[in-house]
Amino acid sequence: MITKDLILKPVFDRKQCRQIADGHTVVMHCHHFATLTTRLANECSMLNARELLAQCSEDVFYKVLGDYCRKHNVSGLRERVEIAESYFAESGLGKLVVKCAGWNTGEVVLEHSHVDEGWIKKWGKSDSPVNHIGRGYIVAMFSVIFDRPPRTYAAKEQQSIACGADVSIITVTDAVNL
Amino acid sequence: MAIDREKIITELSKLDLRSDEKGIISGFGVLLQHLPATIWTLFSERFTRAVPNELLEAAEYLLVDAAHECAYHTGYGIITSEEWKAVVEPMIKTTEDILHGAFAIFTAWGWGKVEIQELIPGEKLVLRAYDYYEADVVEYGKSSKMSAYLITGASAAFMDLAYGGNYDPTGKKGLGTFEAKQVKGIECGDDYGEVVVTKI
Repeated sequence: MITKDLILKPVFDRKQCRQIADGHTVVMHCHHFATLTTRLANECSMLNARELLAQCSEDVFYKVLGDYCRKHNVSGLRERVEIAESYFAESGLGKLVVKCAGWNTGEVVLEHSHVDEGWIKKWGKSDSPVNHIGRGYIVAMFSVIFDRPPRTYAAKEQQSIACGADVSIITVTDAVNL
Repeated sequence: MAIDREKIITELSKLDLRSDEKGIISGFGVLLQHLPATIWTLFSERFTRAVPNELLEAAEYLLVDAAHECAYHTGYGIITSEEWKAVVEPMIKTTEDILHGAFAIFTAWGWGKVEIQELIPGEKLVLRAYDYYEADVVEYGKSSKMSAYLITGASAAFMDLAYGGNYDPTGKKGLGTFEAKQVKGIECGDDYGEVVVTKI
């Protein structure tokens, strides 16, 4: 049972010509853009750009999900999980299911993933997980769910759709444990 | 010019692309997502600020190149879509009209409030952007570095589609027949952003 409906429909601001959803500028991009950006991050190991991309995702979604919960008075644990799952799906990132969530631990399943499925569509299977944007989203989600600051959590893709698995499985733990 | 830019922006900005039960948005021949713009600008800024000065140009090239390839494929999806056929195609008389129409959609989707300033068919495009999310990276003062990587790459891609020959889904032919350079930026204190696209 969903306890809270997500309110996310973008509205076009005619003056600035921007799409605005719940107070944030949003923009439509395709799987080419997401996967090319991901590949760019993969290839720039000198900058540890995989983590750079994941942290950008974490910082942005920490703010967006946090703002949403404050503005719409989403305070319960279950409500926050459901809103975060819905936000992921509504924005086209895929189908995310939180299997369990605790103060120090969690398990998340991606039954579908824009980044992974886009990667396979563009380049075929990957040798290693590619969903850095998804990892960032998941740790941001946990920080928002438990009212903790960014960089509290770390996420690891244990299996990945991009690598040929049916679903992606991501485990979450305290960042200090990794 | 037969293109009714205002009508295109009004109609295409209302496009309501929803995710399916898998959380996937499909349209225009690609998979789409509707994310906060800051995720892209934050990555671009952190990425380009992290590299040493001598590698900045190479880092910026990679960001522009990603946008170029993305817009080549998505742009083709746009100009062959049902929405294009319904709204824009009846207005088209020339190849240049296709470009004006495509940039009107570019505006409607929130990529940037852009207009063609100068167009030499098959040779050169000057595009102005009067508002664009990539300029939001600077909220005070002027940056010494331009940041409109998406607009720059996409401008070249649209010229590829207009004058680079038949669309090639592999991107091996047709993509990369034009190159673009940002010459002005709101983020740098200019009144508007400007991109110059030239044939390679």
